[in-house]
Amino acid sequence: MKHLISHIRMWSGEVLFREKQPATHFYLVLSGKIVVLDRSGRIIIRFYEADQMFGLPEVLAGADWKHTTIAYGKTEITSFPASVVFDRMENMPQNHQKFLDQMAQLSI
Amino acid sequence: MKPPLHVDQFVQHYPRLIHARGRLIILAGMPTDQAYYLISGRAHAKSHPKPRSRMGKDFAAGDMIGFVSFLALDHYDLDIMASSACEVLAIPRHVIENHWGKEDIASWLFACSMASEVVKKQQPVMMGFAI
Repeated sequence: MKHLISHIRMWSGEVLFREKQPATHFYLVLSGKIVVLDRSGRIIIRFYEADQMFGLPEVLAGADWKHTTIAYGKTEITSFPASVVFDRMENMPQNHQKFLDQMAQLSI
Repeated sequence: MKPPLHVDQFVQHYPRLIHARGRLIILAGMPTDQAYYLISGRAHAKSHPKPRSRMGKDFAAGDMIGFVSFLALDHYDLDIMASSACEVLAIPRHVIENHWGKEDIASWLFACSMASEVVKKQQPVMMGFAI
């Protein structure tokens, strides 16, 4: 599974994913900053910095991304495919799986 | 929100707090070094930033109070008040983390990550963007 996890270097303004694309991966910011834009593309509604993970709720819920997300400044991230979380969750106790599903619904 | 932990195991070991109706159980700004489990009674968030959100603002027996804030933040961001006489169990963070981690460490990491997303999405920064 390790080969499916990729390290990505991004330039400022480079798009990680666009609104309405399916959420097939979740991400960990290693350095720099990832910003999420509103639908106009002119307003930053949230951002993620080093050591912050994002995208897990959308991946777990099988949702599409609601907003376009780009690198702000030179940024490095690790990209994890959905299978990482689904494989891991299969081995979790049922009450943990249920709790995480609830959390995903709460946060998309 | 019901935690994926067997809270019964903690009842004998940690302090039970009794709150009269109308008293604050959690004050915004308190460190999240303890989780609060509602043994009996009801409580509600006094200053909920988004009352219509699915996060809910009412808590019943068996719920962890302000649990998303506990998972995501260093300090609680809501005042939570007893809606009736309440019995609350205060459980230290390291105990929750240890027990959760023993059952499944990835579950703890995923839960904290998703709780952070809940908080970020409820509090958009709204900054102008230009490259």
